[in-house]
This record gives sequence, structure tokens and C-alpha cells, in this order.
Amino acid sequence: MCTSRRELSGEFACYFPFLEKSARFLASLGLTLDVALEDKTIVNAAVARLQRALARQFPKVKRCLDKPEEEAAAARLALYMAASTKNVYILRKFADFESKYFRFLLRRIPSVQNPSCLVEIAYDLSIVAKPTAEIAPGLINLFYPMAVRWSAYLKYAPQDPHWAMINRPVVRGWVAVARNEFERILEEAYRHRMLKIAEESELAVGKVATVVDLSQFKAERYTPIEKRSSGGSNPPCMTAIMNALKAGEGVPHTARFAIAAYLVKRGWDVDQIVDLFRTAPDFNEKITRYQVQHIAGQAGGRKEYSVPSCETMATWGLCVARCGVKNPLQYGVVKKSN
Amino acid sequence: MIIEVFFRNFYRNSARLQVDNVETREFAFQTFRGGFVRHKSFKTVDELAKFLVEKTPKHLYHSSARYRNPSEEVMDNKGWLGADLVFDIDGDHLNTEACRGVEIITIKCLEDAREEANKLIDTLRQELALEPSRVAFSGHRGFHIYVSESEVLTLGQRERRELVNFLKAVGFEREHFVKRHGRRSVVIYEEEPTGSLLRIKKGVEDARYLRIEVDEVVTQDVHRLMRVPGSLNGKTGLVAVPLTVRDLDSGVEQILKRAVAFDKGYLKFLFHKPAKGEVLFEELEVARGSVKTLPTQVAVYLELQGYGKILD
Ligand code: SF4
Repeated sequence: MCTSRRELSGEFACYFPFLEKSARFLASLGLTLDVALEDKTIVNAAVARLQRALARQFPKVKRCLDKPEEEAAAARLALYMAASTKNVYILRKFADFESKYFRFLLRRIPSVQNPSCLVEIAYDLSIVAKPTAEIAPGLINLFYPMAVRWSAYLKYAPQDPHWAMINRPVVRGWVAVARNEFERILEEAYRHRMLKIAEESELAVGKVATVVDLSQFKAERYTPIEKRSSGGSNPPCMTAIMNALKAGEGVPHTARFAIAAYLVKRGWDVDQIVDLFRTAPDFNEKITRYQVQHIAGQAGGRKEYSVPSCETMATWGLCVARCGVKNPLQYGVVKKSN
Repeated sequence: MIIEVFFRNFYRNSARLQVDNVETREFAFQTFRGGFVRHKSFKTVDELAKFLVEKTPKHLYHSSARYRNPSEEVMDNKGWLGADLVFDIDGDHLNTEACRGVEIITIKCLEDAREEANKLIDTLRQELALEPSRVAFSGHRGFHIYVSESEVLTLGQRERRELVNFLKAVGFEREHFVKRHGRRSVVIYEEEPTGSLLRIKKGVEDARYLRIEVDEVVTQDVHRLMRVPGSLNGKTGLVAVPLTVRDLDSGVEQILKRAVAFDKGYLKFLFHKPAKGEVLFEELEVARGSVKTLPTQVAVYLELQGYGKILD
């Protein structure tokens, strides 16, 4: 389906504008950056797309039926705009949101549903994949219908105990995953792709800056939290997580859990902690608040979670120094007594 | 020091180094005087071999990484091109009966390390479709295994750490494999034990099968310095012999015999501390202060291990 000529259409490029194939398609139509920048409608559509993403709203799907080529070009232009603001937070937020939208479409566009089409989209994102049926036809295939190379899995699967590779069938170089997990891996690869395009297109990014008024794009920038009474210095692992959050970087779930549990014990209240997460590219106030309340024992199981031990932190890849304590909470204490 | 002379003769007459992509690797060595020199590079193995005769290091290492400019001193200027995926299996880290608390190499503990290395190689093949490019005895208590297929070269530290977790089965949870199939509940690894599921199936019955005891620090480091296969280990005087995967099929005695570099003659040895047990096929029970005539290799080994001094 994906390969048929009809599919290689404006519509496909519009749904998945950051794939190689879409870029080639636009180039073949002569829709280069210079052309797009000359075209008021495309510039406006790009501004709208970026604004919507920053406001956490999906683009309008209908536009892919009306003016697919224009919208596809606008999406790419929007990425250059995000990059040229030089505000990493805007860029990350845009990439994050667009890749979520990508996953949303992967599930909904009828013509990309068959496995060979998904494999092709994966390939475009430099992920070698195949239907599991080709390597393990039985029950494994039934529950884990898609397979990716282990190296791609390690690169793109979320860093989270749930995703530990040992908890998936791994057969002769292939990791078999459920369909929704496969989509999640592609989403991450798509996000990487977008950041890579932004990074590698310095020239285009510079051009955009001279044409578009960038001051219109606002994203809550992080206002540093004043030093709070935390009784002693924070251990390096927690400082690292806080810094990553402040820089607006994507932070794995394990790290979010660890920092929240730690700050609860250090006497921060839920509001303060929620504020800390505000800069995360995928911040959602309602969900975050609930999760923090949960960790603090104010919701859900009503049990206050303990701070993961240094050993656990290490297996999650979050231990950044060997401080010689057993739990990050002991950090300040031990240091003082020395 | 007489040992340095032995080492020099070895590098002059019988060394067989096994290094690939020599021009892209950083070399480092420890001298007999205790200094540590880094950031050396060589265009060819011959050039390296010549250097060894002139400088004769106690330990010789090369980077698992490949660099554009391996002799640059600042890491950022080296131009990292990728790194072999390396595994270190050391009897020291094995919690088996034969290895717990061993000080001197024993055949039994080394056997356990060999078994672990075989387990690793099987896993690499069956689960990840990877083939070792180099295998070597470490010259002490274990084995080094290198993989250098293009798929692994550019893996970052994070991915390597996740790979170690996979090999060590960190975070394994049975529930992930329990699924509803029609009316019944099935355990996938029981029904279709293939690839990693075979390891899990066996591992659930006997925990020893589940984990592979590789040294995680070594594998996840993308700038690691590894002992050069074919060089002498300055802690033992044994050769870090390059091996084939098939060499690991037979017992370690064969490997140890090949690792002995100084097999001619006898030397007088003064013990500064008591020694008891088997050392390189030689049964010992000696008190502090005694002098014994020992096969050259045993005397070299004991001096390097700090048991006393060769009297020349
Ligand atoms: S040792 Fe503990 S406190 Fe220190 S960085 Fe690691 S996890 Fe944090």
C-alpha cells in the first residue's frame, strides 16, 4: 500500500511530513524552503501549526484532504521556525507534540495499517523491522506481531523497567513487540528524526529567522525555583534530574518517579513538585498532579512511596556518582559526618 | 629486574599480537617503574611490536573505541568513530564455589569462567545474532570477548547499559509473559522457548541460567582500555592468548598451557609470605622466609603477585 504511486501522494506527506519519503516528495514538486517562505499561505499555516503545538492542540486533519502539499510544507517550515527561535524548549515541545500526533495518525489512517506498510515507515526512520510472523510464527507472533532489531529497540524504547528488553521475546537479533509498543518506538524515532533535521539544517534555520517574526512564539520558560529548605545539599543524581527538567529535556519515568519521591521526603509540597515538571516537553498538569499526589500518598493507594535505593537508581541508569551511601536521602547526612 | 628482561625477550621472539584496526586505536601501557602512559598510536602492528621491544611495558592496553585521531590527548578531539562491544568475564566476579574468595588462579575457577564465557557466546548468537570477532584469555582469571559488527559499533553508553541489563536479566518479570489465550492462560516461554525465552525457561527452573555474569562497567564504557590480546599480563606473566570460540570448548588446562610464556628452566625464589595451593600446575606449601627452586613461570607469577623475589 505504502509503495503504490497513489500512496506517495500529498496526503501521505501531509500525514507524515518528517519522513524522508515525504521530504523527497515535496522536493520533487519543487516545494523547497525558499518557495515555501515566499508563499504567504504556507508561512501562515506553519505559524498556526507551531502555535497549536505549543498550545498542545493537534493540527487540523482536514487540511491534509484539502491542501495536503501545502500543509506538509508548512509542517516542515514550522520545524525550522521552532529551531530558529533558539529556545530549546520550544523546539523540544514541538518535536514532542508532533511525534505524538504521528503516533495518533499511525493508528488511524486506514491505508497504513498493514504490517508491510508499518515496516516501511520504520525503515524510513532507520529502524529495521519485520512482521514477527517471519521469525516466530506461533503464539509469539500472536501477542507480539511486530519485530525490531535489538539495537533499534535499545535506542528508542523508553527507559523504564517496564520496557526492559528481557521482558520481550528476543530471537536471533529481533525483539518481538506488541503493536502499540511498536508504534511507541516509531514515535520516539520520529522525534529523534525531527531533532536531527533541525540540527542539520542550520542554513534553513538561519533563513527562516530573517523572514518570520519569531517573537510571536512563546513557551513558558522555566523560572528557577528559589533554593528551598531542603536541609542539606542534594545528591548528584537528584541534581542531575532537576537540571534535566529545568533544561526542558525529556526525562524518563523512572527519573520522574525518583525525584518526586525524593522531594516529597524533603518536605516539598505537591504544588511545588508539579511546578518543577512544568518544563517537561510533554507536561500535562492534571496527570502530573495526580501522579505526584499518588507518590506522596495523597491519592490512589494512599501509601507514601519510598525513595529508590542507590542500587535501584543504578539499575535504572540514574546513579551518576558513587557517593558511598545506600539511599540518596542519606547523601547530605553522611557528608556532614565526614 | 629480571622479569623485565623476560618480557623483552618475549616481545622480541615470540609475541603474536592480535589487533584489528590498529591505526584507529589508542594504546596505553604501564611501565615496570609504575608510570602510566596513554594516547599512543601506531600505524601498523609491526610498528607496535617494535615499540614493545624498545619500551617493554608491564601491561599493554588498547581502546575498545576507534578514533579519527587516537593520539589526541583531549577526549573531545579524538574524534570517536565507534567502539567494539566488549565483555569481560572474570572469575573474580563469579559467585561460584570454586571462585568465591580465590586469590591465586585455580583451574576450577577458570573452568567456571570458561563456562560463563560459553554461555555468553551462545546467548549472543541465539538471542542477538552476534558473532564474536575476537576472544582472548585475560592472562589472569577470565576471558575477554569482542564483537565488532557494524550494528554494535555506534551503540552509546545508555544502549550498552541496557544490553548488560538484558544479559543479566535485570528487571525480569514473569508476568510479562503470562497471556490470556482464549479461555486459558499461557506462559509464552513455556509454550515457545526460543531465543531469550529458552534462557528464561531454563532460568526460572535454575537461576544460574538466567543471568550472564559480565562486568557491567567494562561493557558500558565506550572508551574502555582493554588488555591487548597476545600481550603479557603484568600481574601474572601469562600471555593473554588469542583464542577461537572452539578453544573454549575444551578445558582450560590447554589454554593455560598455551598462556605460559616462560617455560624453560628453573629459578630460585625467596618467599616473603607463605603460599599454599596449586600454582600453574605446581603444588606448593611453603612458609615465609623459605627459598625454593621453581619452574621459571611459577617464580615469575609469584613475584608479580607479591609473594617474594626471584634470586638471581
Ligand atoms: S550513589 Fe546514590 S546518592 Fe549518589 S548519585 Fe548514586 S544514586 Fe545518587
